[in-house]
Amino acid sequence: MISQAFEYTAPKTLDEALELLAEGAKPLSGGMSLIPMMKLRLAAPDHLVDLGRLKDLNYIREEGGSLHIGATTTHQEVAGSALVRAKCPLLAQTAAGVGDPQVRNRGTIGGSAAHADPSADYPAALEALEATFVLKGAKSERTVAAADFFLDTFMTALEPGEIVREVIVPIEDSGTGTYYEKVVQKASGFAVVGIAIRIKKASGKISWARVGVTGLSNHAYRATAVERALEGGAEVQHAAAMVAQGVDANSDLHASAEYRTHLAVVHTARALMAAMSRCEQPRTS
Amino acid sequence: MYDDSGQLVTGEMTDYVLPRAHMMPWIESDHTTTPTPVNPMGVKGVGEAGTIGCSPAMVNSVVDALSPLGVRHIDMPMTPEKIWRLIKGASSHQPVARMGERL
Repeated sequence: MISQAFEYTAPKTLDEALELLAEGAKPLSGGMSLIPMMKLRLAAPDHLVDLGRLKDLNYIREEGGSLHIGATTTHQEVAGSALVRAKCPLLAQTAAGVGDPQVRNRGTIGGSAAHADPSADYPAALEALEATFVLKGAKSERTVAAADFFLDTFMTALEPGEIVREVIVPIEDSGTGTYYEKVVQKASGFAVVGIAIRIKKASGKISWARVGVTGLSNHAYRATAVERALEGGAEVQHAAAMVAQGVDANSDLHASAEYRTHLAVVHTARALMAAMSRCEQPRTS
Repeated sequence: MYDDSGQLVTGEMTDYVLPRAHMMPWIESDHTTTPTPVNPMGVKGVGEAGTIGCSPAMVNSVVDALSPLGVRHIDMPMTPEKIWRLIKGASSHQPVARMGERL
């Protein structure tokens, strides 16, 4: 199908882009979600501002104990980055499993976060990582924590005219074990459910845990009930059973709410076991 | 076609005349009834007969696997959720046979 007619601008500078966005234009990053939506006429923006050519939005930097990732950094760039693989393996592993190679070569971390698809992979990892989003508008710049960023289906804390400029994730301690596990929708690669885990162990037990969940409900979230149970000494199976606590599970043609919840519980337990086994592996840098 | 001296005499379509619609004879269609003795209904497959058995064979293998739970029938498609529901529903009932035992 063919989209409605629209204006297209590829600005040379971020400031120029932000001025156009302030006037009501829509940002285009990798276009892996927006372009299909336009072709299906689910979206019909009058004016697209292409951020994809702004070189100063494409970077991965280590700075003050964190990794700073520019918005237009592609999934493939994150997955293939030696820096991310060594310092934030959860994000690299998650990026490596997004969609298919075409999507990973075009899709971007900022675009995925801003789109906030309830079945996208990145949000689970970004919740578990307690990532920080740098949001930039024509006259403002502010930071928002992941927990306050994903608000609802396709809804984020972004105000009109603002873009995700940068995503900041922590550098993992050497003892942290991480894992991302998903039940994949075979046709699209999206997550029916996706579970991102970070844990630390002390004397054979989990002493600290972060659990990010995508696909199960209207937006990605941290399963704090699971985290508290694990940190309180609960067994993995017992803690995993709490993953859907306080959450309204989605029903669609891929899985009913009941089955989706079941999948989330099973795969939380599996992801926790996988993360535990990774705690012991010596880190390569 | 070649003549006695080996010359091709059907070099073009004007020489090698194809049958036309008006040359078609009257065709009478009828049925012969020869039931196969190898199945109870006597039916035979036509077309891709070889593939017809695959789907029931797959469904029957899953029914067989779940038969210790009392499962006797599954409608296709066998989605993961459908199988999960059958197992879940069965576990609340008394199994009709022990696991691994043939019914």
